[in-house]
Amino acid sequence: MGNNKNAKDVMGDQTNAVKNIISKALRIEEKYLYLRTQRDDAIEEIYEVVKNEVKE
Amino acid sequence: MILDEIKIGNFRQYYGLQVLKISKDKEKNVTVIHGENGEGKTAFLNVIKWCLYNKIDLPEADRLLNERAEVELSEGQMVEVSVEITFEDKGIKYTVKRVVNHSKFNNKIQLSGQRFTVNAIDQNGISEEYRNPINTINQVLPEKMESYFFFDGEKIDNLAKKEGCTNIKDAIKNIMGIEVIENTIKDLKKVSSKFKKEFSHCANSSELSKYSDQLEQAEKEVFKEELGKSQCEINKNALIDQKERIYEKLRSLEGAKELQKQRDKLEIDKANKINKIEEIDRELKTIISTKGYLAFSTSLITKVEKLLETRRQKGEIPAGIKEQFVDDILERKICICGRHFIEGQDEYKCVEAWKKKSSNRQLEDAFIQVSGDLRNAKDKRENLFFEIEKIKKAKKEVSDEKRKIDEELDELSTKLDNKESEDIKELEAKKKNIEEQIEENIKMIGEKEFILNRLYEAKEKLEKVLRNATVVGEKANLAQKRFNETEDTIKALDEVLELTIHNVKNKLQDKINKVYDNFSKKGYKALLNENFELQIIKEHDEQKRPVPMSQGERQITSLCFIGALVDLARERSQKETQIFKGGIYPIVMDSPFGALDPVHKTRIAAGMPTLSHQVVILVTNSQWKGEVEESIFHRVGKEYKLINYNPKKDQNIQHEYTVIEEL
Repeated sequence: MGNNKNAKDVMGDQTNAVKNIISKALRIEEKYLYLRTQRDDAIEEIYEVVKNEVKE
Repeated sequence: MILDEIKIGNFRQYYGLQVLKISKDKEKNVTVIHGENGEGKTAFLNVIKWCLYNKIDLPEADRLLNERAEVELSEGQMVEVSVEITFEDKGIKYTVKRVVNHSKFNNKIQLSGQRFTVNAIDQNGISEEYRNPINTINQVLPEKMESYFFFDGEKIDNLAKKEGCTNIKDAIKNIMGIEVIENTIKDLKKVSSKFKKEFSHCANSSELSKYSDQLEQAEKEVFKEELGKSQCEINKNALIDQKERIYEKLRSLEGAKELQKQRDKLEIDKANKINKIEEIDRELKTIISTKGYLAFSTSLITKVEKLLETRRQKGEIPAGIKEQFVDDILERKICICGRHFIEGQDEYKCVEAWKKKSSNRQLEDAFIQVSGDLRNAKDKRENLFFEIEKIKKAKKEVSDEKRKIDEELDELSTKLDNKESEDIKELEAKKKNIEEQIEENIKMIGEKEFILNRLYEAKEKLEKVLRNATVVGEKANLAQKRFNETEDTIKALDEVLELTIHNVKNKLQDKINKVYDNFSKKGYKALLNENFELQIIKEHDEQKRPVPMSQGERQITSLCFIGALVDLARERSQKETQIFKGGIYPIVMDSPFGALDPVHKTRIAAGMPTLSHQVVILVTNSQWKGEVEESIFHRVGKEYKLINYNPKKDQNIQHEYTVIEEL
């Protein structure tokens, strides 16, 4: 791991689909952060995000 | 979070309604609450934790109602236990209130309802009551981080112990909102598993199904082993805490005090020797991984040397005649003997034939280079063994010193065992038992790490197979693509996570040193090492050898870490971030000067106001008077005293209670 590399560099190397999945999934997890009983809902929402981002 | 006011109603020692204003003055940012032991200092710390997070770290935690208020309550009447905290955060004024109602029926106290509300007034004066108050508070100051801002000053030195690194790593994760990233990775793994099932199902291939099942199994085992490993780590840390508590007791027992003092010193020395051995091992590993190949290069060097020598003896390299020299003669058409010749003549052909015996420049250069490299490789090889020998010798020396310390520690233990006091004997036996359990846990962690490494390898291979498998059918193809994209996302997030933690660690390192300067110890600096351990080193020591730390020094170093954390959270609040927004936080400390000598008291008192924009300290009179008061009084903005009414001191009083008075 290069010492000078940062999270932005890693994100820069990703495909658009990966970038979009990351950004949307983080937002979903933030929403569910303190709602510990609703983990399955978070998984389901992220599953839909991937399906929408990778369509063909 | 800028604390404004705290209202306490009939909570534990506090009788009636007690109101405190917290200093918001930038220069005089310290609020001091004076109180003797048992008068409600620790209860005050719990006032904040209870109000914000419904947490109580006191004996009989479910007994909230003040004793006097309880006695004064008439049959059928109701009384409130309440705490209300008013603070400002990012321009919004919050009022957080937690209330538990108590009623008396048939001479018994019963809980008769509770409520937790968060009201806010924004910059435009619009007020709102939040529907999800727990969420709101966690967004201002996450519960997981409260222990870094509201804490017992005497116990905070744990952060600077070797085992404190887990807490430090957690603090870094929490302050950066890394929990969100961790949850995302966890859930993406489940999503990936779903796509994996879909794709092996659609592909209708028994082979793919087999690999998919194997991967599923490997993932389950990884989860089980990771959980087991983290449980062992938790157990190990809890046992280390238990051992420390035994040491604390031994430090206070007359017959054991002196021996325990010697043991404390020896254990610091031992920890330093272990650090040194680990450092030597790391150095050895680096040498072996970067130069280790030289050890096996003898036969290759000899072979190349022989080859070059044979060519040299044959006169092939280096050749006596240079190719360029022959070309020049042929171009000039004059031989070195002065004879002229024409192209195609016998003389011309004779000179041209020399070219076969000549060598070109590149080959010559390569020959010189290789000959030099071979000599160099031989020297390096010899040097490698010399270096390894030197390192091994150094390791043996340190290991011998460590063994001597172990022997001395054994002797001390025997002496404690032979004491007549049953208390001491019992404590020593418990300590030995705990040490055995710690060893057992360390062994198990090692075993689990070994298993996990093998599982990670197997998992990676299976993932590769599934990722690259050729599948037929549109549906299967799409599911494979989704599986691959999800796996790529997990990998990217894993990398982001690791980089973020390390970058924050480096950032914290600078901040810790800046804060450490305020606690003035010239010639030393604080270091957060690669393993997330807090250490003190001499400023100009290039080898960065940690200096043994006393409890006072550990307390200072831990406070510096907290100060750095506060600064980082403040800095984060000024940036636009997607996850946890950071903020400005106060620090509330109970008895931070308890077990300190005058020198450390002065240093901590001098540096304390710089830790945060608001610092609240709870102190006894003996902790305050003298060096602490002298160092800090010019920064005090508000001062309160806990007035305790106790039947033991005054027979006219029937029940013990405390009220707060401003000085």
